[in-house]
Amino acid sequence: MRSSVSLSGRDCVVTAFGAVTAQAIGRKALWSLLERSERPAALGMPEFKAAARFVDRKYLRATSTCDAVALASLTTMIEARGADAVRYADERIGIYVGAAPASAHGNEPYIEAMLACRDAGGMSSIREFGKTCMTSRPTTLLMGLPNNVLCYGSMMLGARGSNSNYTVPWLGGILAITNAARRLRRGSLDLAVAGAYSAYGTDLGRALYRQLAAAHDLPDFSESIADGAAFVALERRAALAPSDGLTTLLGAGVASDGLGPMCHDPKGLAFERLLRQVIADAGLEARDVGLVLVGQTGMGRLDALERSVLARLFAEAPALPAVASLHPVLGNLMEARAVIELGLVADFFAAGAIPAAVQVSGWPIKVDASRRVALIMQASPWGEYGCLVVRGDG
Amino acid sequence: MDRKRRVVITGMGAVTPLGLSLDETWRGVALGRIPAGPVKAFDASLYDTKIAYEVSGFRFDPKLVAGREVAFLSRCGQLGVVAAHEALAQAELLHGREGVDPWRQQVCLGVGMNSPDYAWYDGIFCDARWQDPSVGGLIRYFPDQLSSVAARLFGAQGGTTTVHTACASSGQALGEAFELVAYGEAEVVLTGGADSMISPYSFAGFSLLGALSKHNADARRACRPFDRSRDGFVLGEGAAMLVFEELEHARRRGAQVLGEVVGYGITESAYRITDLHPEGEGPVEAMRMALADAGIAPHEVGYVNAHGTSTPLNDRIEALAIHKVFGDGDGAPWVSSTKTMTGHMIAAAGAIELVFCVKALNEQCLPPSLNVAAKDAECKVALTPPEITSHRLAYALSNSVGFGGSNTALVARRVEA
Repeated sequence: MRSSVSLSGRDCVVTAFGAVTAQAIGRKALWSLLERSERPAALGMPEFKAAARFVDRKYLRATSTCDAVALASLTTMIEARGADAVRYADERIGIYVGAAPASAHGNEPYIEAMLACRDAGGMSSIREFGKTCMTSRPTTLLMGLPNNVLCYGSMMLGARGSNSNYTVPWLGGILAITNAARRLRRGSLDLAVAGAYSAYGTDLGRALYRQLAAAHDLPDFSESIADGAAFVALERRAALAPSDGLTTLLGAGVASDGLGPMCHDPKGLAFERLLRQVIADAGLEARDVGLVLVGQTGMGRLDALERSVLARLFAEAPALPAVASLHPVLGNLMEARAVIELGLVADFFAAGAIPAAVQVSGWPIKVDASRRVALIMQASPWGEYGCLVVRGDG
Repeated sequence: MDRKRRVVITGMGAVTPLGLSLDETWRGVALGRIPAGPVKAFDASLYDTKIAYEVSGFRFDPKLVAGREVAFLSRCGQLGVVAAHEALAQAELLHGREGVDPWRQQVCLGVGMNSPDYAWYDGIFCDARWQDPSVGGLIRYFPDQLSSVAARLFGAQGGTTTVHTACASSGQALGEAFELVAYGEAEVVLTGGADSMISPYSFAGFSLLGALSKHNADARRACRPFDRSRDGFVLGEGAAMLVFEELEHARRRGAQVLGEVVGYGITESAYRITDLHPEGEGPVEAMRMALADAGIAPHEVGYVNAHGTSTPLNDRIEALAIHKVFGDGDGAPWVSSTKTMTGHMIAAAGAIELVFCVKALNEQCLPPSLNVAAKDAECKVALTPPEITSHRLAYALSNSVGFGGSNTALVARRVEA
């Protein structure tokens, strides 16, 4: 019995991709960055202003900066899909979002209200806050709403079909893609838009992860946390022209160690089982995989787990796949990582080789054109795992 | 897999303002209790709204979880763990069970926004003191922490999902859990929701939106869904959890079957961030989708648990939507909102309301409609009587509608012993 999504036979084509990171907007700019091996100075986007990129500025009124990044990336996806793309009925379009899980809603109006009722000792009164907060903007609560991107994204797309919003750290993007594809495969959607955004590239976000790493015996990876967002459009092959599409999604799935928060099995057995299952459900074997995209995000034993699972997965393969990690250039994009990698798979196959800055030592750098299948694998510090299996053409 | 399998409920648990267990909660519903009162969690005396439905007497027992997990649980998470414990214990799955494949078990929860204490914001956030050791502790406000702990409670390895679509969160989580089992992705899914927003920030936010009732002088009558003098909802808190399981899997291991989920509808209004479409578009389609998914006609539904928040807009438009789907007359269902008894549990609302539907089906009764002194003539639905009433029911439907435009509808049916 399958425990993951098999899409083979009902091809689920990635027809458009849009992304916004600190360094680049859109697929071409992102790939160019990888080829030039440029590592930018700043990976966070705390001051991002998306007004010029928005389809409709009225959506900006009650959105935070990270919402703006996400909606800008959705805009780039819509632009990439093109005005001539197939049009579907509203109720046949769905949107699935992997949202950066919020831990503290830093709404300026509340802070102003809090400061306004501070006493001489520098502490404010909850009682007085009840009065001063009423001078804040009416939309203050909404700025922290985790499903803003889903809401405004649905308006931008005219998407009135099935939808969801996941607040799962790191794996939100893979969950969004997995469930969007499920709905497409079952025939309840004709266009499934899936994406994710990460938003911990702030002083508070980095401090949180720095302390978390220290508390759980992990190296400090906080400085490589990157903000960014990406969306893909998924459509059925039958609705498209033969040459349409970037890549084809063959399989997707998630699993967990079930050991509790920030706890994972060092042997990676659940991770390995997931990868094998999703590959098999796609009607393939490990030997068919020509390209693997891994994390290797500087997280000590998590990186080691990933490498050992990779080695075991391809131990019997006659030829090893090329392996890349985008982390050295793009940083740790957490929830958005897998979506961005999905959008760039076609470029890896077109290039035929892994760009220098994103090669992973000990693994081939030549991408075998005869094995046009890519595996995107992601592990989170929570002992949760996800993967996508992708054919490198549309 | 395209063929739909049957999805039954083998465990339920709840912690609500009515009680610290499902039994206590349902007893409260049967008695028509309204546990609303002045806010005790903080000094709300200068807020526009000063009332809430709080879970009283709740003391989290850290022995319910592994010692290291306590630090990952906010109040919302603690409420969720207690409810999950009850549900898993009833399903006889707590701490795993021989013969039940952990790879085929998942968790899918709707969890609330969660935010730190006011004192933390005041003392740390306002002054950007990011080096303070309390910053790492913010992890307890990541909604997914509850899902991760819950997965460990029964050793689920099939994956965890945490949904947030505001007030539709747990309705949505339940629907996705239903589909995971129905379409063969899992045999068992722990699903449900938890939320706790009775805090200065949340009160401020909802007040600014004009969403909360200001009937402070009479807290127990403030939440009055479908009454013409309604003026907003009253915040509640709590958790409700259910174990969804494939029918044959449940039968093979001798699990008790409490009910069956037979249909799910999910739409997005794509209209506004807070307001419903004036013609009920969104909820209408969600209900029709759920009925079609269940393979039943509207007249077969005997009871609808409405979202029924007691806001002027929601109740009127939801009633319109229900009327469009079910019509009126003999074939129309009875309708009630149980938020008069629990308050608005936000992310947990959909879950507790499906639990009430299952209990109503099991006990063949209609939960009461309370605080309706004068029904709004624009709300053309048949409200249940003001006390719990015996009634023959085959199917019940639960609606949830969220800020952000997600609309869910779930259909449950009674399973004969």
